[in-house]
Order: sequence, then structure tokens, then C-alpha cells
Amino acid sequence: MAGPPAGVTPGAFFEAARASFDRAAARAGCVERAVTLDGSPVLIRVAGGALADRVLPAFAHLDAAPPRTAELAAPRPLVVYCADSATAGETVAAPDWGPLGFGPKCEILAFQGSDVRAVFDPVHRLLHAYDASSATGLFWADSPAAVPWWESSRPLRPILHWWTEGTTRQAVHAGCVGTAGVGVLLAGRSGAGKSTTALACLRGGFEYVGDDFVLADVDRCVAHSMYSTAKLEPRNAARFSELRITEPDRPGAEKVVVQLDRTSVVDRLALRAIVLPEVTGRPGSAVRAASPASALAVLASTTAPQLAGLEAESFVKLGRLVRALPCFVLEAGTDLHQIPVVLADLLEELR
Amino acid sequence: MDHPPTRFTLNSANLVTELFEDEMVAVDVDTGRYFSLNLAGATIFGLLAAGHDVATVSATVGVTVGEHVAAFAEELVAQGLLRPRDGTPAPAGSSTVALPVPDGSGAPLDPPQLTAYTDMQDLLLLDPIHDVDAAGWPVRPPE
Repeated sequence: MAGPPAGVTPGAFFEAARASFDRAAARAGCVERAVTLDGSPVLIRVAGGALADRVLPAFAHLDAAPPRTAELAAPRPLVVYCADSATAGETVAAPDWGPLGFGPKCEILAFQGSDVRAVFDPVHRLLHAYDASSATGLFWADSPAAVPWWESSRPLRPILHWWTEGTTRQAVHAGCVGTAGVGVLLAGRSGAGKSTTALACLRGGFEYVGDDFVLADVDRCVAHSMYSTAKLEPRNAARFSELRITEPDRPGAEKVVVQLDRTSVVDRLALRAIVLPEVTGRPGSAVRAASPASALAVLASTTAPQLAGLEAESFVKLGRLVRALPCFVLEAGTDLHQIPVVLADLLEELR
Repeated sequence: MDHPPTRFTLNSANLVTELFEDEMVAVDVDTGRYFSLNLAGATIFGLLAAGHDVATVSATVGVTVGEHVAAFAEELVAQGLLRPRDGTPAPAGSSTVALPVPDGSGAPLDPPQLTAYTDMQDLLLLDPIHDVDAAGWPVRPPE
């Protein structure tokens, strides 16, 4: 694998890509959305309305509240530039230093050791890049239509993940629901029942932070909302017919995407426990104690494959989280109305 | 006739472990594979990774668990956590394995257990050989 020749740096690549965004924005206009994520401002700038419709809706619930005063180890303000080749009339050229070399999660290995991280999905042709020196992100697709449904339901995930480096924040593949400001983190593999549990709780009057990815402060044990979408397996979607499905028509769709109203999503909950749903097939639901080791194994092994880079740091952060919170298995029954009752009882015990 | 190896070394240059009261969780950062080991398994793994031979480890962990050490060592090798020590240097990296501290009770341990988490469905693995488009990016057809 070739490294950058003298004078050509990952930073230069990033700046060239940024310049491509500027030209795209000049050509197609720029849609901006300012949000606050765990007290830190995030500005998302999208070239063209069509791509904005694919990137911004999942953040619709996040307010652009004024940031709190600076806190130790809080992420710096983040700016993300989003564009696509069809709108821009140009393509971001790959770094021009020979074979790039990619890791198993599509990370560009030649960037390792620099301030710039990048992943390139060669199937869907999505580029995510992040320059840690300026806390700046870049997202580039072939066209708005080429942005797949799963990217649209949880956009900019790699960039938000890299942005947390060196802080107490960690993007976690988990849901989070609760009552009266306190909640539980729902962790499990695909099909374990995280989304069904989270949405059953939402229907049962719970506060809802997320069902797929949340931003956890592992020291303060707080979960912050990242996205206002939820994903369901098609066979479960009929059980939530009142929800607005935004991505139904895909051949052989393994998941449908639900766009929740902003009033349905709270921006944070204080965590009281980690809960690992397990579908039982029986009507009733119950909770039983689980080991922190089992919770860490589930959290880490389901989070890391979806986030390129910072694996060791993420593992250590998640280890802190499972040591700080009691862990339980939710034996999730087929009677969905019982699930929020069981979790409400658990939260009452832990309050 | 080849004798089974008796000494081992860590196979990964970047193994991170978390040790809990009775269980260890380990991740090979390079491969993204996760493992959990019960107390006996973590103890055996830690002692072998520290360079002790099978006979010494068997004597250390007591009769109940000791008879499983050799077979468990083979399993650790098969899962890529250890490799036979053959004189080649250990991979350079930051791997350390936290060693369980015996609680002094002398209570017998359960037989060693190792669970490998191989949920790689969300990984987008790149083939080593791929075409490159006009902009220089790799091209891979959807599966």
C-alpha cells in the first residue's frame, strides 16, 4: 500500500474535497441546519435541496439551542459539508498516491496516523471524511437518489463517531427509552428486539431517545438523541400501524424506516440500567439480572462493526459504562403492552 | 511424531481486554472479533499468554480445571487468540491480558469456556483485488 508522496497530505485531500463542496454549493445553493448535540453545536451544510432531503430529516428533532458554557472534554463545535457528484457536476478525486488500501470497514488506511479519517463504501459509493484538526466533516455521494435508506435513517454516523475521540462521549448501537427523565439503554444484535421494545415503550407513554444509535456520555451516564428515525422489520411494522413509514418500497426490504415526530423524541435521558432484549415467543415479559461482561460483549460487538476506527477507545468507554450501570435481560414477550409496564417497574426500583 | 505445543504467545498485536468479577471480554482490534471467557478460561488464557507452559498452568489452576488446559489451549489457538511460541517475536503492539487474581477461597472453578462473537453482518469487507473508477475510487459490485 502506497503512502502519500511528499507534499500530498491527507489534509490536502480534505481541503480539495472541501473546495469541491464550495463549488457545489455555489452551483446548487446551500441548505443549512444548526443543531445541538449534547450541548455542542453542529452545523450541517448541504449543497442542494435534494441531498438535504436525504440527510437532514433524521436530525429534525434536535434544537439549535445555544450551547452551554464550555465543559471539560466536550466535543468541539462540528461543521459537516454534504454534497453529491450529480448536483456538483464533479466528483471528489481519490487521493492520488497509488493503491489506497482499505481496512475491513472501508477505512482508508493511508490516512492512519494523520488528523484525517475517511471511509469509502465502494458499493454505494459514499465517502465520509473527518479532519480532527478543525472538527470538520465531509459527506459525498454519487447522487441524492444513491443515498441508501440506512444512511438516510442514521446519517453522518462515521463523522459523529470520530468527533467524539478523546471525550467521554461514545456513539452506541443501542436504543434508549425512559420515564420522567431517566431511562434504560437497550442493546442487542439485529433482531433482538431493540426497536420493537423502544417503539412499544413509546406507544406506552415512555420518553424516547432512539432505537438504533444514541450518543452516550459514559461517565455521566446520559444518553443523547442522535436521530428521530426508527427501523423495524417489515413483519413488525404492522404492529405499529400508527407510525409514519418513510421507506417502505424497497424490494426485499429487511427493514422499514419510521420518521418520528419531533414531539415524540426527547433529547436526553439519564441512564439507570442497560437492558438486553431477548425475544421469547411467550406472551409475558420479565427482567432478570445480567452480567456486565455480557452487556459489554453485546454492546461492543454490535457497535464496533458499524463504526470504523477508534475501536480500542470505544471498547474502553463501553467498559466504563457497563461498570457504572446495572445490567438486565428483558425477556420480551409477544404482548407488547407488557413491555413498558415491566420496564417502568424496573425504573421505579432503580430511581 | 509432532508433539503438541506447550508454550504460546498472543496472536494479536492489538488485543484489548476487560476483566470482570467472573468473566473476561476481549476484542482483537485488528480483526474486530469479540470473545468472552469465563473465569477459568480467562485464568488459563492469561497464564498461557504470560508464557507459562501447559503443565505449569494445569498445576496452577487445580485438578478440576487442569485437565482441560491442553484442550482449551488448542481452542484459543483455533480462535486466533494465541499461537504456538516458535521463537519468532511476538507481534508488536499494545496487547495486554488482564490476569484474574485468585480470590483465595480455593473454590473449584467451572470448566473453561470461550465464546466468539462473529456477528459481522454489517461489515462491508473489501476484496483485496478490485477495479478502480475514473476518479480513482474502488468499485465493487453489489452482492
